[in-house]
Amino acid sequence: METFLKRHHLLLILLCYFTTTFSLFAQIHWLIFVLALLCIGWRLGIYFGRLAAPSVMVNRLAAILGAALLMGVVFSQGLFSAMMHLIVLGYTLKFLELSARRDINVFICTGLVLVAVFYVFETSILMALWGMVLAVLHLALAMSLYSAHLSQHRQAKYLGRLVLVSLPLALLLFLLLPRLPPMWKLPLQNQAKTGLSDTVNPGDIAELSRSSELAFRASFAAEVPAPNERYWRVMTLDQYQGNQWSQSQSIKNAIDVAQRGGHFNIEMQGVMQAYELILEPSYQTWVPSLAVSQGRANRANLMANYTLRNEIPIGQRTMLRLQQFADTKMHYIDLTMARQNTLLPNTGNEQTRAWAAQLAAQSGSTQQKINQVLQRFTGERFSYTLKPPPLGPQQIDDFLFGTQAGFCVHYAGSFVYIMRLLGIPARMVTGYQGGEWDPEGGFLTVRQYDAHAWAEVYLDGRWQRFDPTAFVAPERVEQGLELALPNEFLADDPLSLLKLRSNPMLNQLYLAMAQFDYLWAVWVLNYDNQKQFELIKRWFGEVDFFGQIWLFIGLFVATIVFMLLWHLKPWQRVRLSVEDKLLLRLQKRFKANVGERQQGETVTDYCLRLREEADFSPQLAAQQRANLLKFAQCYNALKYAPLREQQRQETLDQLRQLLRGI
Amino acid sequence: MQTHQWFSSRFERWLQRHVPARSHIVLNRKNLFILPTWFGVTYLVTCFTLFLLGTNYQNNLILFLSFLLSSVFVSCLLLSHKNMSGLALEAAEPEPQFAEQVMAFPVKIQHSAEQGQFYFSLQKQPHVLDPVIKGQQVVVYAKACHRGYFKPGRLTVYSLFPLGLFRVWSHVDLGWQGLVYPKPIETNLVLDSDAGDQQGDLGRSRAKAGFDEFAGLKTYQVGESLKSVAWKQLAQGRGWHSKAFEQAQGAPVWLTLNEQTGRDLETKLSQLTSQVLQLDEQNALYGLRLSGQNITPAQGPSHKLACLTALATYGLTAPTKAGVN
Repeated sequence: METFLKRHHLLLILLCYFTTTFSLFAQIHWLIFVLALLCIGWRLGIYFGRLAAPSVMVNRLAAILGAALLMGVVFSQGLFSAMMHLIVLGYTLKFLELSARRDINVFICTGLVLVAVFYVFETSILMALWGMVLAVLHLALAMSLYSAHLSQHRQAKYLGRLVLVSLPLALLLFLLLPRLPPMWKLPLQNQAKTGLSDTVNPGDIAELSRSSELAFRASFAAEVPAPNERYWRVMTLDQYQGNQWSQSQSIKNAIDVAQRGGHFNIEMQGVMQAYELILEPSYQTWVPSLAVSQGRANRANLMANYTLRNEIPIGQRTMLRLQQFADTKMHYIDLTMARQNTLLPNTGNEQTRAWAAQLAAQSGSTQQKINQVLQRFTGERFSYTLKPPPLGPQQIDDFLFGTQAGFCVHYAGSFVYIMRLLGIPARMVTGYQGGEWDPEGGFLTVRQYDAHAWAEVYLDGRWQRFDPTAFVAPERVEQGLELALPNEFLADDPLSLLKLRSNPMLNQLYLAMAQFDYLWAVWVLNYDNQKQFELIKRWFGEVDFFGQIWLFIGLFVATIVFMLLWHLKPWQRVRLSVEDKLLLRLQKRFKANVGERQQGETVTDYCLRLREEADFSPQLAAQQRANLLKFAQCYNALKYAPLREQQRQETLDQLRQLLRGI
Repeated sequence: MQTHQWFSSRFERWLQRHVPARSHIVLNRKNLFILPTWFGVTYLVTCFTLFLLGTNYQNNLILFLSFLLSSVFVSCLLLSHKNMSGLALEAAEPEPQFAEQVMAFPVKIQHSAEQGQFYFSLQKQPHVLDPVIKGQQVVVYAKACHRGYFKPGRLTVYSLFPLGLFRVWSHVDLGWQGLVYPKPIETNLVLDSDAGDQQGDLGRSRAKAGFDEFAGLKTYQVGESLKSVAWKQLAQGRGWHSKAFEQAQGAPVWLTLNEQTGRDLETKLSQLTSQVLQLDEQNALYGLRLSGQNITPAQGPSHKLACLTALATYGLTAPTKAGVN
């Protein structure tokens, strides 16, 4: 029954299984691996003749029990995880019923689907190549099954050639086949959210600043904003509950609307500056943007607080095209917003309250009072640090009059608190500030340690940005965290490549890698219809829609022809000589009448047979019969006699004439 | 069922027109068929699933994987066809066999590229033995049921190379026609060396019929039955000799249809076959008399074959080997 299943098949199946499941190791529940060990143990038992193959009933029971158990365990992780586990379960249980080739076929197809699942989680270049290796391994399994007579070395060589020859068509399809919009909504993978979160404690952003992970990259159509203008707004926090800043219910509602496609309409003013973001997966919907930006033909929607929300969580490296209108003022405020942005807990932080009351009693414009608050951060002995001492329950008091050492959230939080005490609408904004510009690659890299918090105050009929951190540590805003806090920067990560960049060679290497990674994200991961259009324009000039279709068809046909030529190699076919072609014509003429020339029948014998058997018209018969004999003589002479070129040509002409005369 | 038969008969006729019977056939685009296997269909469905996944997750890597796998599918289509085309099949005459025995049909295959693995089966015959493939020699087996001329029908040659996604096949008619002798049925009839009624009581001496007497040794000649070799003498190193027998009574045995006890013609022929074999074993002189055909008494392998052939084809007209070169 299992004669087809040889040792190397089993080894290849195990190799496929383990490489694929270990690639998804982080996503798969450990129960699967326990099950896998059981199944493989059983399979090996069958292979060595120690155990009997399980019956159909046992198989079904195992499948149902396994599915029930897994669903119980992973259902809380969401639909995506549940579906993935079902596929992996089927993949694992196949070990129990490898009784026919069909089972291995199913195993191969399931494995290929799992490679696709792997791509949902991993999109870096190396991982993309690894996924290809996994896919080819599964094809190798098919090869070993259906080309078993070839040696393994030749199988590998043949498969390699097969895949290489298939590449051009695959590339063509990838480059030119128009991308369809998503047809229906599929469950998204459930991953831990990264980057900025919806609530902010004073220590949160400092925590984030320890990470050198990529947050996003940006490229600009025109000029790059100056370092101190690179304020990437992510969200506004308008609710303070004594220990943390969070979003009020009205903002949460607005986010909900934006995620379902609602767009806050405002009239944009001034010059438009287009830019592109390549967002790293955060598994959240926020989109960092420069004030004031709107999405362009994508699913990033503007909200009333002038931030953007994507309709689906950013689950993979996503490119978004945005437009910034720097001259547009953030005018919008309504009654709820005005009330919410001046709301504070009724009690607590008495020292600050007293100081604010004193400030309020002074004469002078609001602007002057704000300046006075900001001046306080420069004037007194405030320090900027990633490791501020812990604060007591009276956070603002403790900070302003006690520790006086903090990170951006401390400063922005205290500032907003004082503004609200003064009755001025104010909110905290979290996002990223700065980023590293790579002039060669033409993109700005923003990492998690660029995370920042600042304040916005409603003044003179519009929301205005105030960044208290800029008063404590101006170099943070001008040059970034690394220069602002050289001793604390990535202190937990002494081997970080970023810290080794003082070595010019390593720096070059780092930049080259970053550029390659950026190109990968832009041209491969986010290659879409617009990029397609750009590419066609670059290669073939201006092409309209129908032109594009024709182009696609043309290139498609060209590729198929290339593959045909490659495989069939018509130039290697044996060429017939002229005399052979003439002979074939003769044979064709008499096929119906006398039948074909038989095997082993010489041309002379054949012609003699024709002379006897063929029907000739009575008046020409004698002539034709004579010609037949001459034909055979000429043919033999051309084939076997040593002729000079001149003679050869003459004989050929004669042969042609004779054929006409038969 | 009716429509199925109608279709299969239509297909048969179509095949006869497009892939006529030949003892030497080179497979090419005109006589090859190609269709995806179930695995091929499943694989294609997988490609499409990946395409949907890639589109819905807007994941270019999944899309590329889907495109690559589809391209491999197309490549396999070309390669599997290329692998089969150019395969030359040359049939050899099958050895005659007795009815209800397994008959061997030899084919010689020749291929320039020699990459793929080929499978052979007889389309119309139930499977009795796995075909034997040894280098260029292939032997397929079929069970011959009735005496006479046995046509095993079309030979299906197929390949799943390289990935099992496509099945490329051809139903070739190699014009095979095997001669099937009747199945021997033993009789307890006492063999008679009687030449018939005409000869009266001249040859009524039954007891001696079929018995030979050892006459002496003579020099062995190539082609003589191995049964007659004097092994003892050979083992003693005295060279090849054969034992010569002489019938005690020179009268030949006549085998006739009428003397058989069988109920019908086929049984009678079977009984005659058994007797021919028996007499040949005994090296007896025997003749065969069938209505319209007399084989004069003789002995030896060629005589045996002539008798068996006569029995096999009795009452049948030899079919012309239409279209066979």
